[in-house]
Amino acid sequence: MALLDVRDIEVRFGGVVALDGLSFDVGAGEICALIGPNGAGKTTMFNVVSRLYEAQAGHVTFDGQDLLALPPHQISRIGVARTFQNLALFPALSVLENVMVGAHTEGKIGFLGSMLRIGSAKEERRLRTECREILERMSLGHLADRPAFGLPFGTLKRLEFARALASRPKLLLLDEPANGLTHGEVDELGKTIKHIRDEFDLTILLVEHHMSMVMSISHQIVVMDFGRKIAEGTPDQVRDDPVVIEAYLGTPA
Amino acid sequence: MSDQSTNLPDTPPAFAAPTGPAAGPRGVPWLRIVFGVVVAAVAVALPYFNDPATNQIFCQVMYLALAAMGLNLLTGYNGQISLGHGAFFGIGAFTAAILTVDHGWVIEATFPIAAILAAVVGVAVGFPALRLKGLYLALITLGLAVLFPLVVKKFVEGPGGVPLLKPKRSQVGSMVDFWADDIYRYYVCLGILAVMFLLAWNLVRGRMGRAMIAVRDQEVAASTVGIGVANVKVWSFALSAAYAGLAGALSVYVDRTADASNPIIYFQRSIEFLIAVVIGGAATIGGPLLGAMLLVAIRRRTEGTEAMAPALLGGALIIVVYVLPDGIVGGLRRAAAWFRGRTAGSASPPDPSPASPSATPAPSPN
Repeated sequence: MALLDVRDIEVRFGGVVALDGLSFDVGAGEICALIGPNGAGKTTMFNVVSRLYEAQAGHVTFDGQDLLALPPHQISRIGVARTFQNLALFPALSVLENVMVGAHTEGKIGFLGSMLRIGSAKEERRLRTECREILERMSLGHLADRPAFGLPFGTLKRLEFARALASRPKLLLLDEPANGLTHGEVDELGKTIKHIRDEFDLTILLVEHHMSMVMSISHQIVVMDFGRKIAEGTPDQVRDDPVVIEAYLGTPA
Repeated sequence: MSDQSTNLPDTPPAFAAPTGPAAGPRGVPWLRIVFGVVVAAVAVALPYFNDPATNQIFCQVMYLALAAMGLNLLTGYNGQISLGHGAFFGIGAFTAAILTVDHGWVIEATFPIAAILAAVVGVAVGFPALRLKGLYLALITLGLAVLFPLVVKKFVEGPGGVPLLKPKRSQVGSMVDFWADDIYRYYVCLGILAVMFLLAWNLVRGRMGRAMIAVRDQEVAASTVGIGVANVKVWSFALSAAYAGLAGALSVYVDRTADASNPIIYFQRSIEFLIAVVIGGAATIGGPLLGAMLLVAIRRRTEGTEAMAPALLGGALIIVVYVLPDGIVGGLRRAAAWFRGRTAGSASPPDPSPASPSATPAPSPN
């Protein structure tokens, strides 16, 4: 059984149909890419899975659970983490603290416990150590105590990746991770994604426009256009599919 | 829904090793320890060198600082603006006054009740506040502060039919022989202030403090990492109200008056708390205390000239917003960073990529 199973998802914004009966599934351990022209509904799909948008119809099952029955803040608890296309970090917090917020569900201390420091010191030490390890893994260790505000874009992208890893997810949603990176960085990123998947035992769903990276790391590609799935398969199958070429380049007049 | 951002040509290589200074192991912060000990010693010795009237003013600074810290937790750390904290302050004040005047309680015993009652009302306000943001929230809470004296008028009738209660002098007296009344009250206020500031400090640097800041800066991202946004917001409201309520009870203890005869008095309180937070430095621990000191100092300077106090306060607020947008504490921090940069710069080659301490607020990443 697939880890993530998306069935007949439909999302409308007023009269605009953003997702029109979209179905696909992602097997455990796979790297799956959602590609398609701008406005195809890729990020909308991400927002449905992280429960930021309501689907008008359809089902999403994750690890055997009905994902659409959960409130947004429970999604992380069952093992789904994500990054954002335009970054959504906490600029006032340090790099390490950003990752520690990512590990929020790994802690238990509440308001009163924090204030009275009941059991919080031990938990803080544990989270701090774990989050430092993740930062080291993403080569951000030397920046741990810097504020996130003012760091270069590419560094912040890696920081968001690190924050997503801190919740120990099973499924990681990456929204355009290569966006804004240079060619050298993109190659590096592709390797990082593969290594991280092996190390953390992850399943990855990514939206990406950078085709060479998509083709080199994905096991499965879902091609979307106008909210529908127009093709699906391995990189080789998708590359030569005339429907895909038409969606990207248009038909000759 | 996906918009393709253009590549940023001037983005520095992200996967190359950045060249910033390594965060070395921190040495023992001797300067801070010495500073802390000196401040504590001065705070403890202070009442012995001043007359009762002056000690009362110190106590006013402390309860104002406590209320401002409450508002700071909500507005500074959690980003919810409230102009209604005067009402929570008033709830605490009248809880203490009613229990001592009408029911003969020892006033010290009313403090926890005042805090809890204010927290309960804080929860009741915090839930509807979930639907509101920014100016709308400010406006609704403002209504709370304006409404409060009217509600009190319905239920409290002091001498002459005025909603004003005054505990007896003996009810706010010293409980130990070796301290005069004013010195005793000073130490009660100081003890409560120290404990409540320590609790706030513990909170904001822990798991839930990070969650409060995360909700303030990026609500959507906060919820995707598993933070219960509604839970954090309502808790922040409750704790914040508890601080204000406790401060209100202390005000009755210090000034021996709970007064709702002036219809805008609690609205004025709300504004005072907000000014103390902004001038001192929002989202800092020292800010509310420094803000409260400055506020009371300005009030003392302008005693008797009714028009001067608002004018001076307004002037101070404008100056702070322009010159020190992150308040006195923010200004001190930047001065310290600048000073460190200078001393470090003369000893070692300049830092190639300084984290720019900027006066502009951090941009929202979305």
